[in-house]
Amino acid sequence: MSKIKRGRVIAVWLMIALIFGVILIVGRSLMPAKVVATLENYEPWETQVVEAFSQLPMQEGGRIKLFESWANQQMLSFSGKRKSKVSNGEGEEITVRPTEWMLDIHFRPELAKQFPSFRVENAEVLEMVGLDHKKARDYYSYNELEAKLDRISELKKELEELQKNPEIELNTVQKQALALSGNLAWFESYLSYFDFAKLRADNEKSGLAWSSIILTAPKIRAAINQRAPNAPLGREELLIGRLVQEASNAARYGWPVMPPTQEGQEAWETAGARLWEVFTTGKNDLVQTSKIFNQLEEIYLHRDASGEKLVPLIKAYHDTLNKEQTVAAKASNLSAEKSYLKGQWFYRALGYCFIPGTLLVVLSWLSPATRWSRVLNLVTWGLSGIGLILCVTGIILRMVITERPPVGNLFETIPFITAAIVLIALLMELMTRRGLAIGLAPIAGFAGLVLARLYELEEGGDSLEPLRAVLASNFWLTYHVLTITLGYAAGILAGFIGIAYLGNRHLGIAEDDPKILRSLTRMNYGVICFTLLLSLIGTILGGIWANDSWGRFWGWDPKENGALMIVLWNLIILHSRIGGAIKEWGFHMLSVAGMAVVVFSWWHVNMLGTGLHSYGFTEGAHIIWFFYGLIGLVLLLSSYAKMLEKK
Amino acid sequence: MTSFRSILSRTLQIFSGLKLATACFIVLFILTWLGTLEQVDHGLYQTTKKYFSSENFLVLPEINGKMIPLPLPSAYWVSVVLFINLLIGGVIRARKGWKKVGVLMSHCGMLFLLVGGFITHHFSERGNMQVWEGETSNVAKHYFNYVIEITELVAGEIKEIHVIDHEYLEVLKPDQHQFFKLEQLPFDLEVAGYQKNSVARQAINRAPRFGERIVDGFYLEQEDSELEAETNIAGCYARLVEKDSTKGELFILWGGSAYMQPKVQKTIQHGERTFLVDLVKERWVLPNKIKLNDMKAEFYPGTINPKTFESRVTRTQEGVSEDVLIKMNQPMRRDGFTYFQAQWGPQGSDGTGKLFSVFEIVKNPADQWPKYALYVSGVGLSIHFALMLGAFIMNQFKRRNV
Repeated sequence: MSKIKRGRVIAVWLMIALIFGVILIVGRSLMPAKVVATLENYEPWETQVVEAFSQLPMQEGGRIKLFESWANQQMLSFSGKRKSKVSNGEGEEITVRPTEWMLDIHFRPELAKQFPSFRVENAEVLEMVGLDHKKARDYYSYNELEAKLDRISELKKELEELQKNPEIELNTVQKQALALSGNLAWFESYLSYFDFAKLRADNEKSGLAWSSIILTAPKIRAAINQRAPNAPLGREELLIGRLVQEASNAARYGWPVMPPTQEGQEAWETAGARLWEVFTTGKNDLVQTSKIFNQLEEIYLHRDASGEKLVPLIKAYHDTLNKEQTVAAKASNLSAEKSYLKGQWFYRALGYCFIPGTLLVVLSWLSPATRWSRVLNLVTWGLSGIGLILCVTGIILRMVITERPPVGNLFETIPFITAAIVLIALLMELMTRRGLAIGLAPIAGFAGLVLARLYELEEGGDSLEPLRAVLASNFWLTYHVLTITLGYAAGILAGFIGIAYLGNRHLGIAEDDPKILRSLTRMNYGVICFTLLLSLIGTILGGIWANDSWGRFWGWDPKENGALMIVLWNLIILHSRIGGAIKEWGFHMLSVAGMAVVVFSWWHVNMLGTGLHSYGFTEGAHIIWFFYGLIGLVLLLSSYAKMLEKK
Repeated sequence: MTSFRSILSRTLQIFSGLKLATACFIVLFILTWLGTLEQVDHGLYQTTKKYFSSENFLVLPEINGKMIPLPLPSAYWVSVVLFINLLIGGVIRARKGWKKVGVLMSHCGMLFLLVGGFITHHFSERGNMQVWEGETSNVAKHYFNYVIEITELVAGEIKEIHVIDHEYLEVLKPDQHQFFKLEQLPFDLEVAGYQKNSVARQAINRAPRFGERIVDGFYLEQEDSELEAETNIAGCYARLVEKDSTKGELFILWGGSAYMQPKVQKTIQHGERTFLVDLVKERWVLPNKIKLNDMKAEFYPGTINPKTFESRVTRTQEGVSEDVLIKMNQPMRRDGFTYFQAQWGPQGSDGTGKLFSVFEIVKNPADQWPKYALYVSGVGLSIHFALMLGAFIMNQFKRRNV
């Protein structure tokens, strides 16, 4: 086997190993969990019921969103999954998605308690509370954890006490224990949420229900207020007080089902909070509140009924919510959110376009500059183009939902940067037509969207949350954030081109064409120039924004420093090249190292826990170190290969 | 003469060379990186002072609290060298021509930016002003600098304030005594045991652990500098010294005296005259009076995430008033001063009840210079890269046609 051919085979195998390694690591999140529990007689929810529930609007986290969105968030933060599978004991596997999972918790709590809802990342967490564990990392049901709930609660208090000490930082296991105890508390709140509707279920004949008791609240309050000062409460008063307290406590936290009915009030409330308010302050519209309670009770009473009966009840509640001003004003946002959730645009771009595209690119390396490779390139071009369209669609829908420019938080930088790299690579291919840039597009798309997926898993939460006051400026979000983010994209693309150059040079993937290395260098020079332009303008624009927000242009804040480092790095590359200190090989080596500088600025500074731009992303350090390691390895191997070349 | 010329020419060559520019970029890159990492342990203020101010010529970096024996020039001085290099090599001696106009423009923009940074570093002032709704203020307090104020009182009213400036205080070491001659006052002052961050403790509550001196039931306990240096509270011991060198009793001055009961400040009766001596953050009087009419704080519904906070103020100067809205990303710029919406309170408030607003006040002669630098260098780089891109595309086009 010639040197060139051997190099190609090595490159192909290395790349395949890397792709499958990443898929293997991330695959756990990309695919539903294997069957981890058997729930005897588990009946899946009817599709129309799930559909009706998933479209219900609610206000949570400061914005109007869909029930499905909220359920997604919750399932992700409990189990790190967006779907799971259970067996019904008769050999049938049933996929449970977030909405169905949330419906089980609210309406079939006994089944939900058996469902492996809780991901325990580290068995040490269970050892801390004296529970037997399965594998080092596994899923547990509420029932499995129930025996040690008291100990978990005690542990939570101990850890919260520890957290108050600014000199103590909880270790990973302690943080996971705290998160588990928090999830358990939320789970219990959801389990008991519809307890208020049981009053009606238990008294169907008499018609006693909170929806009707609410209408008598003013009389009850008046009776209590009319008693003599300091006179003890009577038996009936104590009883009603206890009942109100129990019902409102059971539904105090969780699904905000009640839109505001008070003048000037914007926040939605849970059923429990509203019940308490009705009996203590009397400021709410009782008729409207009673109507919603009635609709929720009806839903609860018919929870086991067929879809034909249940769906109209859900729709009746939906219609009531639609008439609310806060929901009506956000109708188009909710419609966009529905498309966003249904489309799973980033996921589809990854699975249908960038992964197959990457594999095709790798295959094309086996026989470069042949008709076979040209066909593969053409298909890759198409796949990357479709992937880009899917990605951009997802980004546009997010813009419609949030009513802001495409990048407003750290998550949003990922699909944006990914789309930008793919777009630039495709444009470069259009301009150069050498079959070089096209190879970068699916690889960048693959890497970027895998990162997006990992980020979602690590962070959970709502990535569509509204912006904080200091960021709430569409002007600056458009000009500064997009420019600096495009600078990141260009910097990463330069690194990819650098790797392509080093791979070609040392492994001889396309050495049949002698002009290829020069072409890569020209291409990279252009990309580095754009990285400098975008980073410099973005950094100065950021300074001008900071000058308007915080009263100083430059404050040596870590994020500012990171941006400056990208500018300086690119200045170093360009000036070293112009001054003759580096040649082609050095130029590409520095551009590969530049990727590490971009990653430091983009991600690492957020983990330092200091500065004004800290986004609180602290759990993904291992991914960053893996990335640095990978870059280090490329540089090391290339240096070794260069040494061999000299010999 | 020839040799002088050749030395001058060689020096000019070095100072205008690309190698020096590259070296400056490399050192600045390393300093910025280390200066970012070190903030985790030492906070922004200390790290910035160490790496980026003109006070140090050389710095010894630290990683994870461990000193690295690799002295590096501080960023300020590297920037000075870079400025010279850019001026001589990037502008004066650079090749001129329409193809280079973009590069020249960007170099000029960068020079302008560096000059702006220099002016900001040396001539800008920053402070903050807290005003409650319905109240008026024209006094800003410095974030870090402490001064000793000796206020003469007449019938309980302030007659005159004499100040010992922060630059004389912050150089003092805890074991150092410093005599301050006060020409306009009937006494002088001796300051000892100055600490940049300290706690004044009542000995009755907690006995001194390191033999600190107790004065009037109080003693000063030294603290490590806070990561957020603006929360440091300075303290010192002081005594009056009569003009005939007779020394008075020691007393404690502590920057946090306003928050302490009984207050750690000294009232001095000197003959018929009354003076109040206190250690306080440096204050400056502004040309504008600011009355806070309304402070509005809004959160996203059902959350504690701030949506907006803004202050409606009336600004009065020389009898002329105007109503202005100050909010995040929308400061008020008047007469060389800029007022930013920085904070609001009281802490824990849900935005209802009586509120106060904290404005950051900045006086920076180079306030808008970065914007101008951006225009110049942004246009310059765009021209340059557009020319390059055009040439590249034409080249590709020609090659394809061949």
